[in-house]
Amino acid sequence: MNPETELKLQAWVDGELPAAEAARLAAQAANDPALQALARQLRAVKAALPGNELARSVPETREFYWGTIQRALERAEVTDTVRPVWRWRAWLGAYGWRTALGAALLLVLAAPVLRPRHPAALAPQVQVDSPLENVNSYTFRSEADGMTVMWVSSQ
Amino acid sequence: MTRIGKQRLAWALLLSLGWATLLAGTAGAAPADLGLKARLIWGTDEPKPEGKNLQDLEPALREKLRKVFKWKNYFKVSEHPITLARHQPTHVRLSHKCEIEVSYADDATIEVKLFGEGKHTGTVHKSAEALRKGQLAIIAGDDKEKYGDAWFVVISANTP
Repeated sequence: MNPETELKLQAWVDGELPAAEAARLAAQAANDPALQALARQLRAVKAALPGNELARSVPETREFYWGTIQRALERAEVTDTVRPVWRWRAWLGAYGWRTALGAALLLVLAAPVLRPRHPAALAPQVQVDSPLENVNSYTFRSEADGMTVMWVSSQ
Repeated sequence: MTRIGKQRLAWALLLSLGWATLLAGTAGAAPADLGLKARLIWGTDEPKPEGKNLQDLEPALREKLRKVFKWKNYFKVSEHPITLARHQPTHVRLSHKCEIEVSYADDATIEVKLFGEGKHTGTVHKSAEALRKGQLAIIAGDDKEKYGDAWFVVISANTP
């Protein structure tokens, strides 16, 4: 008997199987002594448990016990969501306006450096073309002499 | 003033300065009018010919050209000041055969188009900042009328 059949048998004993499957399993159990023995055993356990469970007492009432857990959960949620905001506000209250003034001063001082430069100002400083087919042109650039030269020669 | 009042004032100041910095940066990127000078120059190994309206080139530019090119003598055929405004190409006729069109290719780049006998012969792009700093944009070629000589169109900042 495989575990799957054992589990199905347990569900059958507990009345949890659909009618068609329950009928199939009942027919199978009628011809299988092992299934019958296990079914008997499971029914005996099921019958014995409800009346023989040991009574346990806890120091707090059930309501107090679950209430304590619920309050702890609520405190944890408040800590996760609210506390960072209060910390940030407290920090801003203490140092925020000084930081803002410092940042403003820094921006003013850094303005010449931060001013956007056109990309072309940093790009290579020459681009040459000659649309004529009978003209050869080439360019050279002398950084030392500070000049860009396009030389045009007719064929 | 309360603490909250100070905070609000400081943040308002920060935002205002930020916007001011941004606007100043944007305004600074726009090109200003640029004073340029276009010169047509003849390069030759021969002495200055008699009877031609040629001027001696200023020594600094002559030495610069001598360092790079092979010719011994450089004479100025013509010179034209150019005030270059944004979105306004400037046409300059340097000789009866040679004309240039100078314009801003973008906010930072100058475009020089050369027209030889009415035909678009070539285009050079040069950083406006480099020109302001004294660099040169040169379009040059062999002289068709006199073998061995050369012509030069030199664009530079128009500094005194």
